[in-house]
Amino acid sequence: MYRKWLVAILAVSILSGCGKNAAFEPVDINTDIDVCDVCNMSITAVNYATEVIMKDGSVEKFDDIGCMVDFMGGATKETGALFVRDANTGEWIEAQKASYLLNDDYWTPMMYGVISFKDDASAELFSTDNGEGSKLTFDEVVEHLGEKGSSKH
Amino acid sequence: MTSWTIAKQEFKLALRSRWLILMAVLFTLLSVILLFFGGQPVVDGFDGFTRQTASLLNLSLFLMPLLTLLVGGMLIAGEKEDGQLVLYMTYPITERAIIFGKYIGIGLSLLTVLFIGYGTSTIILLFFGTVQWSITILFFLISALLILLFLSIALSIGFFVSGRLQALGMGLLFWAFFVLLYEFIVMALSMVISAKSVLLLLTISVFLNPVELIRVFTILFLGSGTVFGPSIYDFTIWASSWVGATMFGVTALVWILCPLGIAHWILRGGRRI
Amino acid sequence: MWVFLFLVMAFCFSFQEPVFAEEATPLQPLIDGASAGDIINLENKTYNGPIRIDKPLTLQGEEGTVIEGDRKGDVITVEANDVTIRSVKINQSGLGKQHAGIILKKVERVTIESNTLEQVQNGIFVRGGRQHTIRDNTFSSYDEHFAKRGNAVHLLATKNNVIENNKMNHVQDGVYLDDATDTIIQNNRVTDSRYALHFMFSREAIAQDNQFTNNMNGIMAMNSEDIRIVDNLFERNLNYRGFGVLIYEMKNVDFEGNQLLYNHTGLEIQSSENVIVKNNVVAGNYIGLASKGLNKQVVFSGNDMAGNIIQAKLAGNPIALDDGLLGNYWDDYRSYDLTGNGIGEVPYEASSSTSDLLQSHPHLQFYFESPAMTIWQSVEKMFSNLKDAVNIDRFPIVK
Repeated sequence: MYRKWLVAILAVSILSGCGKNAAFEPVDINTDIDVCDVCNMSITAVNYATEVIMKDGSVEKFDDIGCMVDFMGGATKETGALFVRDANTGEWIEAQKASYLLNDDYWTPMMYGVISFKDDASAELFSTDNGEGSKLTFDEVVEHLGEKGSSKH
Repeated sequence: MTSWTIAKQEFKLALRSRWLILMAVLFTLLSVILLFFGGQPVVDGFDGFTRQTASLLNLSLFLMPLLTLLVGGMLIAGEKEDGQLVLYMTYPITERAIIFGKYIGIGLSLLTVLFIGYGTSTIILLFFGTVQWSITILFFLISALLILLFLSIALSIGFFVSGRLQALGMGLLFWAFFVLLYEFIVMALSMVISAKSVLLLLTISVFLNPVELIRVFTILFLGSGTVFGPSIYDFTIWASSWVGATMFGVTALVWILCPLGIAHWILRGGRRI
Repeated sequence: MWVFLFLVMAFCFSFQEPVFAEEATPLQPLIDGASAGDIINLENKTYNGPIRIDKPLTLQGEEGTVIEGDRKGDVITVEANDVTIRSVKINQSGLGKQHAGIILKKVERVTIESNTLEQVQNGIFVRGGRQHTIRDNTFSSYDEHFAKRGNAVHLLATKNNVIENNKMNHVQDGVYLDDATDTIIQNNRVTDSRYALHFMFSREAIAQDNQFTNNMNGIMAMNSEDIRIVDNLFERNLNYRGFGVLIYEMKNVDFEGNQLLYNHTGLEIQSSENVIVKNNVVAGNYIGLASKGLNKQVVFSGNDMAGNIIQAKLAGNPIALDDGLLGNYWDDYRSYDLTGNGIGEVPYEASSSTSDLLQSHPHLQFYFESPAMTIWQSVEKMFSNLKDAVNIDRFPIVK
């Protein structure tokens, strides 16, 4: 009998152990079901999507960087990692390592006007097609959108 | 002497038992009440997961395992107390044949009771002109499957315990575990483990409990898997595919055969006669 | 034999396209040759787009008239006021960027009626301008996932438009109002799309007598104000996140006389202000009414709540479930009307104890109305104190 319990306990500990020590990985966007956890919009412009991976393994997805910043302002759980995508290629990048362009005339899903790129070269490629934007770091993005967000609501 | 002889004998005995008649009346009554009062469709022609389906599903999930566990377990335990089982053992017949015979016999009598229950309520409702055939048939099949799944558990309980009272207690215990406790345990577990493993846990949990198996797959077969919400999306898609349907069939079969195997083991060991 | 058949078929198909191309007539010269106010009658054949219309004209098609794009950009660009496009079939816009079958660039009083737009990314893109009429058209987009399709009608920074009697299916959004003012949307049917109606940063719109079936959401209303939604039907929006209507960060919404039937969630109101929900039928949904976040002055009264598996899933701050005199009809209300005034004497408690739990652990939706969940709910309801309950209807209707 006690062997059964041993198996059960083992199974549970494996299950709960799974996500704990693994590095935080971005999760693919599924356009069938994924909606922004802040504004409820279904995520269709997948290259503009962003993600926050929580320490407990849960994933919050957003359709726009602005929504992610909005969410971080009121986050209640411990966050593990923040991811944005290169708008040209869709590659996931850690938010801190990405380059950003700001131009209020850029189209983004929630009109926050901030777009993320893997590096400056990719950003330049975008601005030659869509007009110049001012370069920002992630901290500047948070600062800028934080102000914008509080004035918007 | 074969399984079939035992089955016929068992069928006769079971239909004479007061338990079964009581259950038949109770079940007819409940299904009429639910079908009639809870079952008025809001708008005609919708065949997904509705309030009616939900309440009928819950009624089946609560009642069928209880009825089966109690009746099945107590019939066997009763025969044990009366010495009937020992008598069988003296006949030139294998333990396997006895078990299959009992399973078929009691199974058929329970299915008969079920048929009478559904038939009566359908006839009663026909007078009011509100019978939804697809739903009635669907729930007859669900209940039948629940009976077949839980009967084998009931038999192994019956062979294990020493008397009717023990069978009653153990039947109730198993019922409470499968129908109520199990879900609470999985729910609690799913709230403490890492969010990444939740889907895996829920997936496994469906197959480890016949009640869950029937509940989840009924909703899926109704094409209403979206009711489970987006966080279960991957499971819903997988379970709705033919792989999922096969898993459902195989698991149901395993849930019938395994407890019968245990019963066989008990009977063969002769420990509990 | 099969190889032979295959060869024959391949032969046929390889000739199909050039044959069509030969038949097609360039349309731009016809337009360039016409003068302002002319009616150009198009024949039963395929005309080559893309075209630009830069003077007031009427393009009048007949049965079988097709204007075909080059799959690169917009098919018809309208740059003049008072243009009418009637009874033509328009197809083959570019796919990928925001291309459209017809684009209206800062113009006024354009009428687009009785056309069929298919295999276009967006159907009609209205950029700026005012007073357009879009009527009796049929729309569908490319055969792609809705994330890649465009909208049937996309209104951007425009005013005073009427959109009526259109059929839209397999598009991203039926009508997308982005910074649109004073829009009338009536008698349209939208099916198999993402959002039938999508409001964003818009104001003064009325949506009435529309039928929205089988979409992800019937209406997705966000960040807009002064919107009237009356007498519409929202049915079978059963996607994993499907809503009949989702009202998010809205102000001054009038929601009356609608039918919300068999949706995943009938109506959800989130972080909105001054929303009046009155005399609607909310029936057969998985969840009838849901609320979330900080809602102010939301009044829900005179509604029929019947056959919903869960009547109300109310989180966030409470909303008013009666208007002070009249509440709603709840088909699971179990009490009597002793005074005979049609109103039950005992308040109806609408909150489901699992709302908050589902909020923090969405996967528990897996146990939606399962045996254990049902028991839990009824036990909690038994011990809950009506006086402490926040979501109550003080004047439930008794029928």
